[in-house]
Formats: sequence, structure tokens, C-alpha cells
Amino acid sequence: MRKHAILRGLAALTVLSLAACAPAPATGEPATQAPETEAPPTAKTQIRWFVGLGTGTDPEQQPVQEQVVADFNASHPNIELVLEVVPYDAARDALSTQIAAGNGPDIVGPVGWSGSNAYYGEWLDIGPFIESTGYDTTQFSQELVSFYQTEEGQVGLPFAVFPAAVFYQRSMFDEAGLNYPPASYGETYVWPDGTEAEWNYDTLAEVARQLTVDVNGFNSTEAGFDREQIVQVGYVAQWQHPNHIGSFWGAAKVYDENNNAGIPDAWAAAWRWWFDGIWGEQPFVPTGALSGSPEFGNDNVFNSGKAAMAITHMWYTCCLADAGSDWDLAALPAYQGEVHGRVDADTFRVWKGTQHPAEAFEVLSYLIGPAAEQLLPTYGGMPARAGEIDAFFLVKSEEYPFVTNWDVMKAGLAYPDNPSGEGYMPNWNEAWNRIETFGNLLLNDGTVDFDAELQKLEDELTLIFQS
Amino acid sequence: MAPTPRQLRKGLRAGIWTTLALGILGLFLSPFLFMVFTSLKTPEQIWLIGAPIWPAAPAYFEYEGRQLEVFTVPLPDGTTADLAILRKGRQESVFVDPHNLEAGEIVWQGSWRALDRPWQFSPTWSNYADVWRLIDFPQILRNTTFYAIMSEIGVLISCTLVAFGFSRFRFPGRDALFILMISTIFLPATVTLIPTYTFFTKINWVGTWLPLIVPAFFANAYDVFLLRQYFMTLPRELDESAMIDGAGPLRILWSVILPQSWPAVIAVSVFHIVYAWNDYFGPLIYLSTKQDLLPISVALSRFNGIYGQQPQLIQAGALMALIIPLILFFVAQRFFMQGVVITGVEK
Amino acid sequence: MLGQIRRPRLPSLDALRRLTPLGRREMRWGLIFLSPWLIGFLVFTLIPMIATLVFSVLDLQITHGILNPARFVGSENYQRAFGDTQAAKSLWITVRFGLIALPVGILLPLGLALLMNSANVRGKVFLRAMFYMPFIVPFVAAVFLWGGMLNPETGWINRALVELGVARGDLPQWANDVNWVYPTYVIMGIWGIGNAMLIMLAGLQAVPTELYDAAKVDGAGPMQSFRNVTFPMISPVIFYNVTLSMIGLFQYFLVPLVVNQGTGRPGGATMFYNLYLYKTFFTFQNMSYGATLAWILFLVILAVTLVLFATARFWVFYAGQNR
Repeated sequence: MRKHAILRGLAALTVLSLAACAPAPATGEPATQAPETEAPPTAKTQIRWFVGLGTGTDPEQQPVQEQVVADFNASHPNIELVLEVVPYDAARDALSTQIAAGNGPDIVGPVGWSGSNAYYGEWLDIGPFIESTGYDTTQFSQELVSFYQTEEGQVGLPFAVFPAAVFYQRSMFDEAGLNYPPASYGETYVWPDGTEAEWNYDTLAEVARQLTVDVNGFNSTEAGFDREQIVQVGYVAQWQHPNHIGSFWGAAKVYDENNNAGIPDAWAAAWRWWFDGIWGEQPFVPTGALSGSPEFGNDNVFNSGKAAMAITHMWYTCCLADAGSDWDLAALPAYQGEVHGRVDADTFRVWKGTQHPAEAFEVLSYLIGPAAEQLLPTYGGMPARAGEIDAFFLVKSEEYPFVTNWDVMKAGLAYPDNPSGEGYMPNWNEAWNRIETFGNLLLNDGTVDFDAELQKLEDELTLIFQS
Repeated sequence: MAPTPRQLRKGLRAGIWTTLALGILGLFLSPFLFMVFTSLKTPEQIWLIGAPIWPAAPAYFEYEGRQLEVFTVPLPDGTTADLAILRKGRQESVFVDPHNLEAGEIVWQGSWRALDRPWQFSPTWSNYADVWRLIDFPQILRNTTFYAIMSEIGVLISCTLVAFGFSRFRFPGRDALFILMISTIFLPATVTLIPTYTFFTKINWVGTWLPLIVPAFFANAYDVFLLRQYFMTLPRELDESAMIDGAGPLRILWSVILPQSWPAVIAVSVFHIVYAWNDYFGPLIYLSTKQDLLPISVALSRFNGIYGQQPQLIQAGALMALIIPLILFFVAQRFFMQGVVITGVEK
Repeated sequence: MLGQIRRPRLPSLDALRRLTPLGRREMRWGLIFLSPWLIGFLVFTLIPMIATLVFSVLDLQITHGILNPARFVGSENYQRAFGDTQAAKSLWITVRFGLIALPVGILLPLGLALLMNSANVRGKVFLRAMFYMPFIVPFVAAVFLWGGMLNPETGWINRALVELGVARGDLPQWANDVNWVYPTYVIMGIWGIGNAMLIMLAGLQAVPTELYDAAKVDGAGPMQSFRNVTFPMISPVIFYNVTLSMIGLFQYFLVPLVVNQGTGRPGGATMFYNLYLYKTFFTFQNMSYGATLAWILFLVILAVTLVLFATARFWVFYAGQNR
């Protein structure tokens, strides 16, 4: 009887599997692999486009990317472009595995500096192809083009630039009776009683304190403020790595000619300000636990509608669909009298080990050329071509009709971080990781000795740089 | 007929123990409630401060083209009223009464943040429809089922054969081989991933299901270990009597060992299907080029990208993903019939 | 059986020559049945394992690609590993966590299995499936779920504690607190005990009822019948769970990777050995050193497993043994 039971069980399993096999394209796939490889020698060159190191992994972005691929394939009979989208969290592992096995993709992107530097030395010098195809680089500003000229050659071309600005929620300022942050660079901040102050990080902190509110409505400057029950924060360094936080106070290199680490004074000041903002007497920045909670958007704090201000880049428009219909943009604050901004730049890179560099370059020029019109809005990227910027913002205004101040974004282009906060460091991956650990420590533990940890960071970075 | 005292005692015992079990179960499954609730909320409901844990929609009132939030405001005369907030302020706020607009603007002293809202039970069932649509659930389901079943067949066949070999045969070196087999799981998979991936790349299996399914036909240490342990609990008398009757090893496996082992065999089957159902990294690495071959686990993680998190979609998707293994489990459990296992040899 | 030999002896030529025809036949059949695994091992397992061993004596970065020749460095990586304080600390962290998690991971499923096997509980079919259900939840969803439940600020558990009267300042900070992070992981792990419970249940089901009847006739109470009948009969299954749990705990890394972002915080307490390995391999892209650490882990686990197998003869009883 039990034997029959097993037989029945196995029979059921086989039937189920056959049922699964029958109509499904799932088993069809391996079968259709064969015909493709058996195709005549004049078959298309396959170019693999790997998405995941930067933006491009959102469900809403998929149809756009797939349409671009379809359009390209229709207009380029000699190339078959294949899209590979890997979720952001797993993208680096997947890419590393492919590269290590010698099976890397042909094109990677959109990818910024941090993604590219994680694979420093892996990118093809496309200079020869620019020359041989006569590609016109004058359509971009030469400053941007030289951005991508490293010792390895011309490793990229400008595609999307993402200046930064202060994103803020108007309604929160209204509720507190405060004036909005300055709309353009050079303006001062006006307090309700009429006094003016320079728009710098100290002023921002004071404003943010008034906008950090607990469940009973007290802000963090008032007695009776309960820091355990914060329902709104004044400021969040949205998705910023400590290098970013520091660069907004002053762009600098952290290593010298001898590969000794030296934390720039501006960065130390920025981090101290930030640490104090989280754990000080009058906090205005959320702790790690708070910003990581579902109520605060799992680290996407501004999107959850709980932050009055955030400093981040143009690409953030990809991800603030839930932030409401009342946010706007303002100018970045100054440090020691000067505004130090950051400009992120994403582009597509060709992997050094590609078997088809010429075709890869063809795809690349398509992506940053004709396809840019479709891709840039979905990535939230400002066009690198000056002539297209206005058209881009027209699209953005339709998307966010309530935003009045796109100009400050355009103005932000004038404040790039040079050297980039994501720029080259010796042993980049380990160094970036170590600094991130430092940031996490500050975010999650208020009892640490800031100066001791800073010194430890510097010492360990020296070891990393010199190893 | 009235129950006898003995029956009463038995029933009471059953009642107590069952209640205990249910109590433990309740505690154990309470996170599921979280899952279910989250899956029925909108992102706004998840983030709203003061929102109850059950899916509840805050109330809104449309006034002069704007959506105003409604709060339960305590009035000076001691009653409360649901008023719509027109202007928020720290110490005082301005409301309008949705039911009595002629009353004009009502100024209220106090902090609006301390106010309750009138909540309405509002489950967002459309989340499930959204997940279904966004990740093409039928296709994903087909992929996952295909992978689970194909690898399941491989595992069952190969692991029973190998476990039989390890448990019912004695020869020099057998135990060394067993330790060798167990030791293959000591090395973290992270490290062997890249050489394995390179191998599969060279034989052009990347982009198909083959790297994931074919190894299943060559046994794996976990299931062999379990079955071997189980086979070794079965006394040899039946084997020996079958051997005397002239049965070969294969026949002994089929007629003697397997019939006694179906709890373990079913257990192995269920585990493997669940494992294959939720296998993430393998399919991710080998199928990243093929969007339409992805199984549930990989498709689900799309919602968890660092941009655009949708916790309600993840939870809804997860709940939908576990229905089939659960049904399978319910069905398979009937084979876990309790108690009587005939081991006595007919003397 | 295996528990009775102290170390597995490789077949000496002598032993092979001394086989009787029946012994040879048994060996032939044994190997035939083992062949699926043997073939698979040679093709899918042995080569990658040897490859990683080779990595560990080279100077290989991920970006080199493994098919390109790299510099031979001999035992340099191993020397570095032995001097690596982080590696030693990580190993200790892994062991410490294992000492907490292993007992929980064995005793709780055992208790649950006994409960599910009890004649006094009704609705077992339903209950069993329900206890197993959390194990089926995809990892992605489970992590988010527990992150939400155990969030120190807004999680259900802390909210419940506040209702029960715990002051807000005294709430456990769960995954952010050095003292609470291991219990946090253990609690998350408890959700998955349905799997172990089921295996133990299968073992319990196989115990012939006549043994229990015989014990009852001899006047044994529930504790005694557990100690003398149940435990010995299911000891192979418990052994299975102990061995695999131990191996799994040595390789623990996915949970700290996702829950604490693989940073090792709080205070470095979650930088488990396999997490450190993963970071070396993928984040720092140092394949050679990662492979080295992996092989060291291999040796550690091998040693512990051999000890486990050696002690097995004292407490594991196989009914299918030849006397």
C-alpha cells in the first residue's frame, strides 16, 4: 500500500513537471538557445548591457530601457543588444563573478564614479574609437569631457550630470512659521523676525532644529522635547556616504603623494557637525535606527515625508514619488563663506575585456545620443549637452508641476567637487568601505569618542592606502 | 450517552495540550500578521506616524481644491469632532468642519501632532493584483515550478541511490568517502562560485537552467546525509530475508527500504522544493541575462532595490509566493501518517 | 558503524586484496550506487575546490580574471591569515554565536516535534504545516519583516514592550546594540525551525510503537521512555541536525550581511568569519586571500566534524547496525 503511495506520489510529480513543461516558454528557452547559436556566420554580434551599478533597476524604468533596446535592435541589424538588469544590492557580486570568469558584459551603465572606481582599471579606453568613427565630442562641454580622461585614456563620455540642491518641504516650513531657504546662490536667509543670516551650515542647523518635532509638537530647541518620539526631522543627509558629506563642505583628496591618509579639516568639521546633529542636545538629524525604520522609509527618509530638508542630487527625483506635492529646491549652504557643491555624473562604460569593442562603442554612442532623450528622464539625469537642458527641465516640470525652482539645480552645475568625493583612492574598495564603516558608527552609536574614532580612521586608512 | 470519566480526562488533556500548541503557534506566527498587514497597506499608510498596525486609511476632505487631513479634535465643550486641518501651526491650527462648512474657520489651540485621526479599515487588496502584474506572476510561477520539480526529480533519484550505497554496503573506504562527501559542504559556496561559474561559462550553460538543474542529478551532501541516517535506523532483518529470497540490491532498495522510508523521502522532497523555490543567488548569477526565466525569489528582490522601495509589494509577493509550497506541504503531510510502522519480521 | 572508528581508514591494498568474492561484490554494488555522487563530485565539486586551493597560493584579484596567469606567492596568504587579528576575532565571534544558537536550534525543534507527535494534540496536520510555514518565506521578505518587527524605534516588539510598561530609554536596541544583537539573530533564526522540527518528526514517526508499549509494560513513565526509547531511536536524526547546524553556523553570514549591512556593527560584533571572507572576496575583490580564509575555515570545520563523529559512538544508536 505504501509502495502504491510512493508510486502515486512520483506519478503526480512527473505529471506536474510535464504540465509545467508543456505550454511554458520556460522550457522553450533552452530549446531556442540552440537555433540562435546555429545561425549562419553572418549572425549579429551580441552586446550585453549590464544595468545595476547605478540607477536603472526600478520597475518603472524597465519598460523604458526595454524600449530603447528594441529600438536599437530594429535600427541596427548587425548588432543584437541584450539587456541584463540585476538588483542594486546584488549587482556588484554578479558583475564581479562575471568579470572574474572572463565573461564580463560589454557595456555597463548607467554608472557613476563610485561604481566605476570599484572596478578601477577595468574600463576600455574608447579614445581610439572616438577617433576612428569621428565622433563629435564638441557637443559636450570640454570640461565634462576631460572629466573622463584618466591615465587609462578616455574612459567615458558625458551622459548625465546630477547637480545637487537642498530639497525641502514647503508645508513643514509653513507650519513652523519659517521662511523658505534661499532660492538662489548669494541670497541670505531671512528669519521670521526679519533678521538676516548667511545661508551656511550653522544657519541650516538652526532652521533644522526648529523643524525637528516630536509627537507632541515640541521642536528640539524647546524644553519637553522627547528625542525618543521624533516624528519629523529637520535635515537628513539623504543616502550620503561620509565622503559626500565631507565634499559638500570642501572637495579634497584624502591621500598625499606618499599614500598617507589625511582627513581634510573641512571633512572633519562636516562629520562633527553631522554627529552632533544626531546625538547632541538639540538633534536635527535622524539616528540610524530611526532612518532605517519602515516609518521613515527604510533609509529613504525624504521620500517618506518625514524630513524637512535633504541635500541630494538631481537623480533623487527617481525616488521621491511619495514625498508629496509640496516640495521644492533651494540653494546649497556655504562653509566658511564659500559654497562647495557636488556634481554626480553617470555614464556608460565599456568593459576592457569585451570581444567586440567597435560594436560596443556603437551601442554606447547610441545610448548617450539618440536614446538619451528616453533614458535621461527616467534616470532623472540632466543632459550633458547644454542645448538639451531646457527641454529636459520642461519634461521635469510636467512631472512635478509644483516645483518652482529648477533654476537652482542648473546653477548647481557651477559647483562641482573637484576632486570628486567618489574619486580615486588607493585600494579604493577597502578605503571606501572603511570610511563607510566610520559613518555607520557615527550614525548608530552616540557614545563613541568622535576624535578617537577619527584618528583611528586616519591611521587605518594609511594602512589601507599603503598596502 | 454521557462521557465516561476516562473520556473526560482524555478530552481535557487533549484540550490543554492543543491549546498550548495553539498558543505557541500564535506567538510563532505573529510576525505573519505583520506581513499580512503590511501587504495590505499603501506606502503612505506604512509611513504615517500614529497609524494603527492594521491597514487603515487616514481620512481626507476635499476643500477648495486641496486635500485636507482630518483629525479628531477635542472641542472646548468636551466633545470631539472630526475636523479637516486647513493650516497647520505649532501652537495653534486652523480647521474647517466638513459637516458644517458655514461655521467657517475654527481656530484650535494645541499641537495638531498630538491629535488622533479617524481611521478607517482599508485593506489595499490591489497590491496583490499589482504584484501579479508587475512581475508577471504566472510566468514567474511557471519558472519556479519548473526549476523546483526538475531539480526535485534529480535529487530524489540520485540521493536515494547514494544514501542506499552509503548505508547498506560495507567496503573499505566507504567511511572515508562519506566524510569526503560531508566535507564538500565545509567550503563556503562564495568561494567556489567563481570557478564553478567559469566552468559553466566555458561550456555555454550560463543563461540556461542547466547549471542549476543538472547538478541536482548528482546528489548533494545534505539529502544524502539525511537519508543515510534514516536508512541506518531501519533494522536489517527485512533486507536479509529478502536477500535470502534472491532479491538483488536494487530490488531491496525498492521493495524493502523505500516503503519504510517514506517519511524521510517525503521530508527530503519537501525541503528540496522549498529550497529550490526560494533559491536566490544561483538563479541570479546564471539567469541574469534572461529576464523571462527568473524565479520568484529574484523577481521579488526587484522591489527591494535601493531606489523605490515598496515594502507592501514585497510582502504581498512573498505571501503569494508561499502559497504553492504550502499547499504542497499540506498534501505531502498526509503521508506522514503517524504511528504504526511495520518492522516486525513475521516469525 | 562510523562512530566506532576513530579515523576513516583509506583502503589499503591489503584490505582490497583480502576481500572475499562476496566482499568484492558488495564493494562493486556499493560503488555503483555511489556513482551519481562520485561523478558529480569529480566534475562539479573537486575541480572548483582545487581551483580555490590554487587561488590561495597566488596573488589573484577578481578583476584579473581567473584564467589569466597570476603571481605565485606560496604560503604568503596563509602567513597573513595567521597573523590577521580580524580573522581570529571573527572566528571567535562565530564560535561564540554558535554556542548560543546551536542549543536553541536543536532543543526547540525537538520540543516542538515532540509536541507535534503527541497523541494529546488535535489538529496536528494543520499545526505542522503552520509551524513549517515561516521557513518557506523568501529571505528578502523575512529580513524586511524582522527588520520591521525589531526596529528599536517603531518595531512591534518594542511597541509592545512600551505598552507593557518598559520605559522608552530602557528598550532593547536589538540589532543596534552589542548586547542584544546575538539574541536578535537567534530570534530571527527561531522562525526557521520548522525545517529541523520536520526532520525530527520524521525520526519520531519511525520509532516503532511496540517499543513504547514494551516500555510501558516495564513500568516506564514518560521521562524514562523518552530517555530509553525515544532518544536513542532518534539519535541519528539529532546527530544529523547537530552536524549540519554546526556547519551552517560556521558559515553564518547572510543574516549579518543583510541586517547590519555587512559592516560588522555594532562594535564589530557581527563580523562573522564567513562575512569577513565574503567581504574580502567580493567587496575588496581579493580572491586569493578570500580563498585562503575559506580553506582555513574548511580545516576548522573538518576538525570539529571529525570530533563530532568520534563522539557519536557514545550517544548515537543506529538500529540498522550489525551486531
